[in-house]
Amino acid sequence: MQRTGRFASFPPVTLWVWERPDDVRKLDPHRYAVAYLAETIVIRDGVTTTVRREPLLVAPDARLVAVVRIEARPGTADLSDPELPGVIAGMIAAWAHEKGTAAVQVDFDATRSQRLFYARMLGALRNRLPVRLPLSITALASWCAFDDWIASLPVDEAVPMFFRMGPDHPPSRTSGWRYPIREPLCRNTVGLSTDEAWPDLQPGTRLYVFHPRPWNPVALTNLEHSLGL
Amino acid sequence: MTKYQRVFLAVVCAAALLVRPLPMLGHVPYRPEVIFFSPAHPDRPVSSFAAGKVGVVQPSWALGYLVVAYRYFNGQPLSSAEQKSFLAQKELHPGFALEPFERKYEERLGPPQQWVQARAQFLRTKPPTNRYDSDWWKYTDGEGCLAGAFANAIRTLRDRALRFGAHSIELQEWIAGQDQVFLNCPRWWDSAKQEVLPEGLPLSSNPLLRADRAYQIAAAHFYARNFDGALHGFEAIAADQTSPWHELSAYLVARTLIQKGTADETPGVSNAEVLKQAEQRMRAFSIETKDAGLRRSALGLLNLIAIRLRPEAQLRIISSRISHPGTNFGQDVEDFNYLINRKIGPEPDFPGVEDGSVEYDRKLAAWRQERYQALNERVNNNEVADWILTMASWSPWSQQHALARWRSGRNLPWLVAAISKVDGRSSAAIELLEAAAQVQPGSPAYATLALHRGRLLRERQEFEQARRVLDAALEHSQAWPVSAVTLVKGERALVAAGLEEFVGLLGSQPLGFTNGAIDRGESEYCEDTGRDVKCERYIFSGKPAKRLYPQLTFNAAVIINERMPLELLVQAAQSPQLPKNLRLRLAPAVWARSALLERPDLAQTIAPDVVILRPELKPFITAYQQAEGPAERRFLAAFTIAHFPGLRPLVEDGAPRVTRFDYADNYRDNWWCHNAELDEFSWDSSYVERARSVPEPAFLTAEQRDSGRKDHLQLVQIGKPGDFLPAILIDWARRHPNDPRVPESLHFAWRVVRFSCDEPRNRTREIFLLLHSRYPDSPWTRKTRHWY
Repeated sequence: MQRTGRFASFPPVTLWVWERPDDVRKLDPHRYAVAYLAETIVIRDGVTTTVRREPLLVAPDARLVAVVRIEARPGTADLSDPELPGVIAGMIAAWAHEKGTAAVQVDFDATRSQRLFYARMLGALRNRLPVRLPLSITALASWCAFDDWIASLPVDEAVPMFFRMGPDHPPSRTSGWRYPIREPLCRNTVGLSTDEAWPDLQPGTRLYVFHPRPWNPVALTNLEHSLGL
Repeated sequence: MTKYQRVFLAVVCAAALLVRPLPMLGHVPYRPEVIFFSPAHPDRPVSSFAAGKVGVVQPSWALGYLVVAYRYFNGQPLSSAEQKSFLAQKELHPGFALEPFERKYEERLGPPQQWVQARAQFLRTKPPTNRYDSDWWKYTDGEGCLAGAFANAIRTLRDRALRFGAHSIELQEWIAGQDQVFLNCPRWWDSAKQEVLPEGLPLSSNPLLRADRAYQIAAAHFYARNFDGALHGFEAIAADQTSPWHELSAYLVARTLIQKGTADETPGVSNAEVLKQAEQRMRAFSIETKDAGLRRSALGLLNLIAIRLRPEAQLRIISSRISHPGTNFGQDVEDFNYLINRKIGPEPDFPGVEDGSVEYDRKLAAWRQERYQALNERVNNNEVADWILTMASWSPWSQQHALARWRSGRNLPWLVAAISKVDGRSSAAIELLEAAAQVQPGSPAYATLALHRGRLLRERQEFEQARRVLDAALEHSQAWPVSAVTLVKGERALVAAGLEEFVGLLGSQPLGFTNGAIDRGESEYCEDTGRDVKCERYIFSGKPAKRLYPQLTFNAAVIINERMPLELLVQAAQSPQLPKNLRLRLAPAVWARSALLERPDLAQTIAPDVVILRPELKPFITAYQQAEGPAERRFLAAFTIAHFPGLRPLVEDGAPRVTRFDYADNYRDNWWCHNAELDEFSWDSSYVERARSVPEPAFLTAEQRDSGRKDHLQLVQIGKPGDFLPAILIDWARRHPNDPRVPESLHFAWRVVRFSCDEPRNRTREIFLLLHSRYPDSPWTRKTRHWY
């Protein structure tokens, strides 16, 4: 698969580092990038944010993806304020200026009624980010297969989340299962977890890998074994 | 800190040390999920639990709740001050445990926003911010600056406004200095950030303002994590008896040492020497200070230092403290939680073992048992720690240990632990049953013991006695938490004397729904102006929404779907004992099951109920009943089911299907899935194991159980609806090309392939070609515009 666009120079594997103390200094930066949970923005009647509190140790030349999670529970989140997309975009865009940030990723499982807000927010965010900085979003697998609503979003990639999928799809318990990805934005990457069966991976696909515990040398060795490295 | 590291440092307070890692949330649509009880905590809000409504204690509860349960079981209820302090420690409460399900969210100003509001009374311009984060003041909780910093600033601002004058140059200068201090708060871990310091003031300036400025400079150093600068500043102020900040600064010297002693190190490793200095300074301060608030804080921080320096000894001290009424219960429980979790350590990876595999689970269970046992041996002179570690462990060792402790002490906490862990076949069951029978309804352990008495008696096949015990308990259940009633009623259903009694116990009261709000009886999932979502209405509660409708637990659904024979299901669906909302789900499912299992007699029996509940099915069911022979009946069964994606031979546990009965759900919540598992999405890898563990209800005869198993097996053998239904419809079309129903049936066969739960064999091209070559003028052909 030919890699083009803002993510073209990214390593083949990106490790998701969630809100846990993680030490990934020994990662080969040519092989791995690190996507760390930088901030969680909770929208209810108002907006509150929580920035990362857990320690993260990375190599000096690591490619860092700042992940910002948005939580807006249906029924309690008021997204009607026309200024809100710009406000949230401003908060996320601030991460672009953190040292070492090579990309920004937004993690928001928008409900149907929240999609318009999300699209506007991403538009505002793209405008605020440096032109060359890649913008990624996580995507429900069904967005990539049965929905076309993400097609026009101003993002460089939508990472189909092939784990903790719930009713989205019945993932097989053995690796190599298939899922019909139709949306082009979703075709270059997949999101996986080390503790769930992986789908059939196309050559050249960039992987985002989640581990349910802090990354450690044993987990990395096991991952490399799974990747056939 | 080297320039090669970005180190996000935990704030130096016990609370922040205990912040739970946020889980990576599931990537699922916000479809409602019913909550009958939470495995992690008692019923929401947990304030009722803290006040003594213990309900049925669960070993899976977060550790703090087990401490509280222990106190109540041990006859040492929490005082109101202890309850308050327990509820105030937010880190002890997972998820939304502190909030009721139906909560109106009110915007409350956080500490930084309160500062902005107070400041605006004296200065029109907004406080300065980081250039990349212009909304910092609006939305953050202060990040590197704790709430006390803003509260102190507000108090001082108001005081100085009175002393200097609201429009004085001195006040403006004070605010300017404070603005500089707070510029050090945002994203304070960033090693590249320069500290921002207010300028020193000349000797000619107001002495109070000069004292304030010295304090502001030291504070700015502190928030910028320049601890040596902060120490230097606070030491000087502490020595200056004329400064209004000298006492606070003495305290802050010790606090700065704590910060220094826990920072700039590999996480988890403290700078012991610096912490020892901090301890000396803080101890001296706590003795000397006359400020009660500062002394309380100092004592808390001494505790934190002790945890860092002497974790083993501190665990023993805190374990002892939480066993008895005390003044700082919430903080002690939090420290206890921290120390226990630290001792157990994070779950490991195992070399060469695939994560999430059966082998991994096996190794993890062994690891956990080893850790619990080892820790338990180290704390076994402490009753509460021993009880909690035993309760939380599922190993055979914990069962033996609980029994041994019960036999040696015969007290209520160990009776609860022992009875929770044995089964009816155990030789200890009789003595435990006898002991539990002596416990009176007023006891906080009564509901837990009643549940386990019922279970043990059922496992011993003493059904009549189990019914008596559980019925007697339910008579006292008015004040119980809802989940306790659900659990005891669920156990009572398993020993029901007959079908009618069982049906009367089928519906369980939800506590609420997650993953999708329920508003006036409808789900957010439906509030949509999109193209293809139409939803069922008022399936969660009536209009106007009052009490939530009863729903089916996992056990109830497994018994209906996999254990009961079709004949009994027909009776159940017609029973007046069945709540109306459940009849709406069960009766169509029974009709579909009868049709799929080719039992037209039973389909006919249930049909009158189904057409009342689902009038849209009437023409289809009428046609089915008029079919000429089994082949046409088979076709019409498939034809009917293909039209209604909500028509399935199963009932769901928990929340019902939300999308309208005749609409195809985009997320494939349509028809049913392969293996005819009730979990129609079959994503839950533990489903089979969980279903297998559901006990057989006592009222089923051996013959009925056999018949129920055969019905389920036959349904399993049908396979995926996405293969099965189109196969019948296409076969009929080929054999009866002139049947006027064929174009319509082919169109719906196409829809089943497109929208069914599993990934079926893709026959859309075959269907498309059949329609377009043979029936080019049919409106159903025009609706089937493509294949993929």
